[in-house]
Amino acid sequence: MRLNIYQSRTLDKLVDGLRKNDSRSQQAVYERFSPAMFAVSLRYVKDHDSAQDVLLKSFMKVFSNIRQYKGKGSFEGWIRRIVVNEALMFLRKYKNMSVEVDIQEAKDTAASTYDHLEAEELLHVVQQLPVGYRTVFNLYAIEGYSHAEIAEKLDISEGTSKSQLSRAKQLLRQLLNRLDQSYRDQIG
Amino acid sequence: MNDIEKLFKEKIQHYPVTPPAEVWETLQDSLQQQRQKKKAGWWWMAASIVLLATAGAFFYLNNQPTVLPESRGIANNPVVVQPVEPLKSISPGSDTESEVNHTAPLATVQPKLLPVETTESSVAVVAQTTRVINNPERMRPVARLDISPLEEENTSINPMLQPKNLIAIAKMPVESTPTVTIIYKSGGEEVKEENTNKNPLTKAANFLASIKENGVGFSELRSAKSEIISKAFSSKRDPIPAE
Repeated sequence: MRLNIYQSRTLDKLVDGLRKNDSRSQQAVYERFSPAMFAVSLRYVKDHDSAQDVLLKSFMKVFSNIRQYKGKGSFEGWIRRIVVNEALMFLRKYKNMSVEVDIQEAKDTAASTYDHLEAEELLHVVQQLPVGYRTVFNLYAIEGYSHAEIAEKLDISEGTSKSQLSRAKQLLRQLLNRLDQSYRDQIG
Repeated sequence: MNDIEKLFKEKIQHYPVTPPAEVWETLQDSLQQQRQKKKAGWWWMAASIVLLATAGAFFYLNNQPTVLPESRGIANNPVVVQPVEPLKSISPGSDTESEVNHTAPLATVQPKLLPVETTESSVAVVAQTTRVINNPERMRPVARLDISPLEEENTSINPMLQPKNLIAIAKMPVESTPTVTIIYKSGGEEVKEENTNKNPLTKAANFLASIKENGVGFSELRSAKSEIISKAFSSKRDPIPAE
C-alpha cells in the first residue's frame, strides 16, 4: 500500500513534468508505460512495424495533449484510450473493418483448459484473428467497451458488433484447440 | 462474462511487450523538432512585436512637427527678413543679434526696427523676436531652423547666446562628420563608444543624389531617419559640434 501511494505521488510529479514539456519526465513516462502500450498496439495492429508507428504517434499525442488530462481517472487508462484510438485510426485508414471469414463449428471447451497458455501465446492467437473480429474482440473483451460504444467508434451497427464478437470467440476457440493440441503433442 | 473473454482479459490485458529502442529515439527526435518549432515561433512573435513597435514609433515621430512649438520656448530664434539687395547695413556680429532681452516677460514680441541708413535701395528691416528663457538648462530643442544664410551663422550669432545643448542639425554643413557618443548603461559599467558616422544630412543628400541617378537609395534615407529618431529618443543629448 505504501508503495502504491509512493508510486502515485511520483506519477503526479511526472504528469506535472509533462505539462511543463520536461524531456526527462517524457522519457520516464515513456519507459514506464510503453511496454503495456506496445502490447495494446500489437493486439490491434498485427504488423510489428505498424504497431511501432501507432505507439509513437500515441505518445506524441500523450505529450502534446497532456493538458486534456485533468487528473481524473487513471493516467494509464487515459494513455490506453489514446493508443486504442490511434490503432483504430490506423486500421480505418488501411483495412476494411467488416471482413468475414468462414468459421467451422468448434467444440465449446471450458476456458480453464487453456490456463497453462502463456500471455505471449494468447497474444499471438488474438493476432491471428481477421482484423474485424480482432478489433471488436479487443474493444469488448479486453478494453471493456460496450457494443454501443464499439458501434460508434467503428461506424458499424450494434448488431454487427455483436455478431463480429461471437464469430471472434468461435474462431478463438478453434485456434486455442489447435494450440492446445500441439502443446499436448509436444509434452506427450 | 464469458469464460474465454475472461481468460484473455486476465492474461493479456496488462501483458507488457518492450518496444524496440528505435521507437524512443524517433520519438525523441520528433519532440526535439517540436520544441525547436515552438522556439522559432516565439522568436517570430518577439520579432514582429519589435517590428510593430518600431514602425509605430517611426510614424508617430514622423507626424510630429520638426520644429518644436513655441510654447516650449526655443531661445534665440532670430528671424531675419532681408531685402533682395545684398545687405550692407547688417554687418556680421551686429548688435541686433546680441540684444536679447532676458528680463522681458514671456512671449513678448519685440519687433525692432533698426536704425538703417537712409539709402532707399538698401533698406533692411530686421525684426527680432525675443523670448525669455526662465531655465535654459531644461530646454532641449531638437532642431532649429533659421531663415538666414548659412555663412553668416557662425559670425553673426554671439556664441554666448547659444545654449549648450542646442542641436542645430539643420544648420550643420553638409560635409561635416559629427561625433556621436553612445553611453551604454548595462551592467553598471559605462561603456563609451565613439561613433563617427556620416552626417544624417549627408545621407539625405546622398539619397537625393542617388534617386536622381538610378531611382534607388532608400537605405540611405532610412538610416538617416533612424539616426534622427534615435537622437530624438535619447534623453541625454550631447551637442553635435557644428563646425
